[in-house]
Amino acid sequence: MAQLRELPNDPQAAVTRRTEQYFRRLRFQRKATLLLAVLVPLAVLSLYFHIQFTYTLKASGKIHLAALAESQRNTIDQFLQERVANIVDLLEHFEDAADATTSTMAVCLQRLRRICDSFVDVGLLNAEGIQTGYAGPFPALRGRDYSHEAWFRSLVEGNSEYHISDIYLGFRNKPHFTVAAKQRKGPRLLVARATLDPEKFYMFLRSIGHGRGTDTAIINKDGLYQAVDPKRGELLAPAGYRPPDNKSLGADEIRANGDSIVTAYAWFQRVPWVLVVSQPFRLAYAEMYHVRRIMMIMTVVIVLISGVGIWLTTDRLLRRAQATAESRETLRWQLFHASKLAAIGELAAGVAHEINNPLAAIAATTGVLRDMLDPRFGLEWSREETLKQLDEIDAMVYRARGIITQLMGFARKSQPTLVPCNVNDILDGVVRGLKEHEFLLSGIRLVRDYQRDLPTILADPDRLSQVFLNLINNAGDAVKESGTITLTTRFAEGCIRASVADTGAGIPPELMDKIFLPFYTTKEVGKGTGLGLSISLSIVESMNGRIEVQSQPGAGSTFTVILPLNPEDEFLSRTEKSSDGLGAEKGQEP
Amino acid sequence: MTVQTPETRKIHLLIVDDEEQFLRATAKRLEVRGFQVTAVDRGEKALEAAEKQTIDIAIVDLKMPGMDGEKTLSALKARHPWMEVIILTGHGSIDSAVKCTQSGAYSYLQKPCELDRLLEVVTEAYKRRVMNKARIKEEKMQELLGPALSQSPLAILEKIRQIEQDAEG
Repeated sequence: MAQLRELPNDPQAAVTRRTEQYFRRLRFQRKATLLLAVLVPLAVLSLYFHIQFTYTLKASGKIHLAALAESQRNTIDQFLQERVANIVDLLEHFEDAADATTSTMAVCLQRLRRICDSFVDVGLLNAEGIQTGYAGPFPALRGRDYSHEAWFRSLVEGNSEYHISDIYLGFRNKPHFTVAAKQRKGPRLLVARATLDPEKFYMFLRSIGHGRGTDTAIINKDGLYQAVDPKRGELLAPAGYRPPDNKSLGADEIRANGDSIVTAYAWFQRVPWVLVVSQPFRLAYAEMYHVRRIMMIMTVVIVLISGVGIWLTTDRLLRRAQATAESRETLRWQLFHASKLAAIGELAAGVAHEINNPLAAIAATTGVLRDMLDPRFGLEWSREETLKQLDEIDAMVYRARGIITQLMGFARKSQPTLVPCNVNDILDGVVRGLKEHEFLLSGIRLVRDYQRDLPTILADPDRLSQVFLNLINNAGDAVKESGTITLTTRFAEGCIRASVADTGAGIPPELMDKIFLPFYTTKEVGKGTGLGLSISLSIVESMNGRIEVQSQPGAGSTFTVILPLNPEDEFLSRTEKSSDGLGAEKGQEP
Repeated sequence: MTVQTPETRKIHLLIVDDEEQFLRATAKRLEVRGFQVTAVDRGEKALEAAEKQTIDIAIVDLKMPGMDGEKTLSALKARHPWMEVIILTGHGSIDSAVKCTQSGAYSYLQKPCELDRLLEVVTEAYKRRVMNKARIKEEKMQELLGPALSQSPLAILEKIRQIEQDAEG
């Protein structure tokens, strides 16, 4: 805030304040707009990419896991295939169920166990389902009738040469599963079977390649565990999750135990099982999380940099614009004042004459007094004569003073005091009393035409009176002996218009431009200095108004003072001077 | 300290100034010092006065209503080439001084001006006027010497008298 201009009702300070407010608002708007314009697309773009990345990387993670599941499944498949092959191979060695002696079976079991230690026991069954040969830890199973067992039925009745069962408890009351094969030996059917230890099976499962933090399990089509990490679940217990069976390979996201887990599944072909591999999100999607973290950091960094950059740049730019606007305003005021000073410079020439004349007259008069006292001239010296000369001197002195006063009035750097004024009252106040009487004596008719509801305007009443007095005096002088002076007030287009019209001699068009010049006068010396109109103009201009003149030589002249109700509406857009044939407009820009 | 002698007429000054008091006072002071003074407040009146009487020296103000000082100066010099005109103005400027001098002013003084100074200038102006008149008179007399023999004596005498009278104007 400027210090010197903190006067109340100071129009210049008001303009400065308005400039500041305007630019403060502008700065905020521009920054907000730019930030939004940059950040919103950035946010949208980031969001889009984020979603895309997430989706893609998740898909990628899932594919990895599914590939793992598939690979594991294939290995298991192969394992099972091999086991089946082992049993089929076994069958080759026997022609008949009766051939299965204890020792032979023992040898078979040994051989089988050498191949794979998941084998628990082995047995040979005839077509009726009787296990005629058996080797293994449950000797009581020899001779058992398996004809009603599910696996036996499936094997014998099915088309397939082999059968792999789900895990079940069976006669031994321990979870196990069976690999069985059948072969036609002539008219008879021979069935060989072996059971596998699911725990060993699971160990095998675990030994094959797995990803970090993955869990593998095998579930049957009823959702019961066939192979599972003992820490995670129980054999034959429901797994709690059953993958869809319409796809042989796939991956899902599930929530289990409060964790988000990715689960890939791969269905077996030979057995109604599905291999399920799971991995917690943070491992499955590690890559995605990594990329996302980077993206977020980068986005934040970009946002910060852009934001700060925009903020600072806009701020600097607009502050510079504000400084320019302010300096322009200041220059305008300075120009206004400088032009006044320049006019004063022009006044100097006129002043010299105007002051010199009374001074010369004074010098001449004192000279007369000296001559009167000089005995050489032998003049009559009387008291009355002396006093008369002294009076003349006084008159000259006061005349000089009057000119100085008017000049000072013109030169004073205007700091007017603004109060709400009613123009009707001011205009009428000027003419009431003496002026009115004077006109009456001269036979000049005075007509008042005031608009009733004229709005009040913020102005300096003394200055306004000065302007009106000047115009009315001019009108009076123009009209001289008889004529009409009309005082009019109107409110139009946001401005108060006060007119003084006379039916005098009028102003010829070629003189129109000159009438506002300081010291231009058509009057005789001693009757007006010619300063009145130029002072009036400067007063009106300082209120952001203008003076319009319309004159018809022979018919009369009308001077109209136009004052905007809100001078600050003129801010940042001022109209130019204009003139037409008969009328001239003066004001606003100096 | 009067300038006049019983035989010769007083030096006739014409003051033109619209400033009443100055006009009156200055005229009075000059009259008291033995000049014949005609004081007028407008240029037109000055021309009229110069027609009616013989003016030796005019003291003219520049800024006046109606016909201003410069126009008055030009008009006076046009009609009365041997009248000396002194410009006395409160409105001085170099441009103005140059113009007035080119228009034939003898001197350009600024108001307020001491009466003694004015009198000095008036004296010098009068000197020039007298010398000019004498020179013209002599030139005209010289002219007469030439074709004088072909004219009658009375005619020549008339011419000489005319020359003398002109010199008075």
